[in-house]
Amino acid sequence: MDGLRAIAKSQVWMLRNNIARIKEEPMLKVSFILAFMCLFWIGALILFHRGFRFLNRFPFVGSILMDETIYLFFAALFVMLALSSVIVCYVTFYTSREVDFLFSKPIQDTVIFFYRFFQSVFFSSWAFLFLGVPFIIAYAIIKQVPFWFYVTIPFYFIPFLILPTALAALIILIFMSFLDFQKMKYVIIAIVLAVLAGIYWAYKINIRPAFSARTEIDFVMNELLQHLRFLRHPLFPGCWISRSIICSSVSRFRDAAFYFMSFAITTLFVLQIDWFIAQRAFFSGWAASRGGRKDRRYPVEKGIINRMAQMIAFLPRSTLAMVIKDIKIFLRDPGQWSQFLIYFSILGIYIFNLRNIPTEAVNPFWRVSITFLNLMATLLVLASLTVRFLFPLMSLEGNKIWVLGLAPITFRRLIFQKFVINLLGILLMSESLIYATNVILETSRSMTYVSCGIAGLASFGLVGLSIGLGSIYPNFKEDNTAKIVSGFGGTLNLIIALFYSIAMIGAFAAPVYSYEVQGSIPLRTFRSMKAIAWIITVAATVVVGVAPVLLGYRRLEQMEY
Amino acid sequence: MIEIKELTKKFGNTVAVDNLTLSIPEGEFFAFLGPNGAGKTTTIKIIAGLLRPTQGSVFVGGYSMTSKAIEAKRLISYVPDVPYVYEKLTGREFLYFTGELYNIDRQHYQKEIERLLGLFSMQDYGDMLMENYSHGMKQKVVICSALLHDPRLIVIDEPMVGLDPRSVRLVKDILKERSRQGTAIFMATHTLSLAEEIADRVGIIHNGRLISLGTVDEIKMGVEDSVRLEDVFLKITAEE
Repeated sequence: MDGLRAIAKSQVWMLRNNIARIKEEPMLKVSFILAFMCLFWIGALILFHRGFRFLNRFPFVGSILMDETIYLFFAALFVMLALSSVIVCYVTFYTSREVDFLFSKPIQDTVIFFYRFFQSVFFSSWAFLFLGVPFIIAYAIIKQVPFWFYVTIPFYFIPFLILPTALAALIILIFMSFLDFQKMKYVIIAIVLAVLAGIYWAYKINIRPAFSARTEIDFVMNELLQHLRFLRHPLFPGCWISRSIICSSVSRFRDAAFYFMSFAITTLFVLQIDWFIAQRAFFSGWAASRGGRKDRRYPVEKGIINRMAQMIAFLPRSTLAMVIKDIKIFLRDPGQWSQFLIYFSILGIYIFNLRNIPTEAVNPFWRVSITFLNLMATLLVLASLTVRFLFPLMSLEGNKIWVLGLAPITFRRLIFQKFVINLLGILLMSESLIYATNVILETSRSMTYVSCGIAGLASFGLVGLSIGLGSIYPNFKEDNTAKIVSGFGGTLNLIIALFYSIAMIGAFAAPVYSYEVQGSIPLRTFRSMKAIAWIITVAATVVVGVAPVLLGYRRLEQMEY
Repeated sequence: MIEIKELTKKFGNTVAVDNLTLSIPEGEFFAFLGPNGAGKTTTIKIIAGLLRPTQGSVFVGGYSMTSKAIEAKRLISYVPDVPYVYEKLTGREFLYFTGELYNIDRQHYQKEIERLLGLFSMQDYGDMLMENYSHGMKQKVVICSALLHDPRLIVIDEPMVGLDPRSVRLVKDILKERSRQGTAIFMATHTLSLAEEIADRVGIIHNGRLISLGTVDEIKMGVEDSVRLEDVFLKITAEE
């Protein structure tokens, strides 16, 4: 294919140059990073292993619970990959300057399309791969599968990562070919809302009252299996890969092969349709995106943002100007706000469905577990939110950093502004979320206070971590946030944020379980342990939230543009 | 206005600027010439505070660019060779943003922005997103932003790239006028005729070293058979 060899070579050269650059880095730094990543991977493996071991210990239903977890994991992964790929494909195919360059060369449209397609696959899925492999290995260890199962793991992931992106690319190709480019933002909103409404509907119609359950295990199983029935729908691709893995773990090779081949053939089929449409419509859609209506006016002091800015007019003028600039840029970039929309829609579904957990029917173990799981879910959402949206903030100043570098403002103020403004937003969101979910779950008052306290501290720590690391490891040459986040700094941010979130909850989980569930410690010991937990979490928050901001400030001060 | 003393800038083993000493008084229009990769943009970025010297020092208006950078930056305007701007802001929003960053009186800068946009025939485009601007239109907005806070030093890198002839003339006139009013202009350019036309003094840098400094006539006198600045430039940069 024309141009394919040249593009492939350029990628190899870039990879070689990147490796050469890494070799120039201090050995200690590279070793530390590698060791940290290995530790994270092993930590994730241990965590998943413990989780599966816990499920497997349930008499009679352990294996079923493990399989349900596999269904849930791959279903969630499939939907999340497809949703994020819609945005990543839109940005990668139609807004990148590299595509302008490639279209100016004698290269076939389909070559450009698939080159950008596989970039999208990589950028939207590497993190899932990083988490997915230890997940499957942990499952396999508990299931005591034969050795060959481990060898097949990459073969499961290859089509699984490609299909959601292929579907997303198909949607984007079709819409960009037949719709006005300017309407794309409405299309993105419609797709996101439609998919989320579909998830909610599928979930909702399967809910049955569980109060008729006779025993605790019956109750859990009845409730769980009813809730998750839609994950096993035969037309849902996420289900095929799960079934293939489950079947191969018990040596049902024919069934495993059947489901895997169903998935692989569907992937190839969708890729074939992508190729067919890209050949005919990729260039025309791209050209339309360059020739759309460009005369829309944005009067400088009108609009809701300027009116809302009046509410924070007490801020120093340069700070206020930077806040307004950041908000305007965010809201005018569909690639940014559409992902925000996905996060909040998922959160909405999550909160809405919490109402279906019948708290009065469960014992202290489940009540405390649900409270901590809810807290964990909130912190993980916060962690991913801060990594995805706050880490790239400094990098997005990009090649415009000269504007701020030249202005008579210090980088201390710039970082401080980004930290405080985002902290206020995240704090408001996390506290509202944790308080609302605790009310829905009818959590005890003391646990609600603990949850709110942890959420507040975690907001501080996670915002500081992302702003700080984003300043230490900025990528001013890239305007694709998916690429910025997938770099070393973003990965490090994600790893530390996950560890930190788990540590925050772990510090309180031990005393609360010992006292409220097992009753193995007296009240005085419980209070002392809780006080120690507060000291540990505050100290961890200071280290995680303040140190990166200070280092980031120093890094920006010393940076050259 | 600018005092550069024994300035050296290294990138790894590459010496981009080598022991440069230069003084630019208030109101002087200084043209900084040199082949590609000679060290012009590096020098300009050090003066603007965007790069740090490896050795030596830069003072702007008496303030050290290393230890009193904020004070020095208040006096400077910088127009980069490539007009990178916030593409999702309108031209007018970008100028308002600049006005706020420099803490200029709001009424004053609003009036000045309209005047500058009018001068560059940009009033009709001021409320459109800059992602829809041409290179020249972005350059005009950046030049407007550079003039907004009434700087005492304008550092400008290839100012005419992308501008239409009318705007080129306008920029030349504005810079000359500012220079007459006491603003120092430090301009890097490859357009030798421009330097010959408007510069009070010219410096030629090659391989990081300042190899010639003086008025256009002084420089021409130093090289035999040179009628135009272009001849001088080609000869002395070839010799080096």
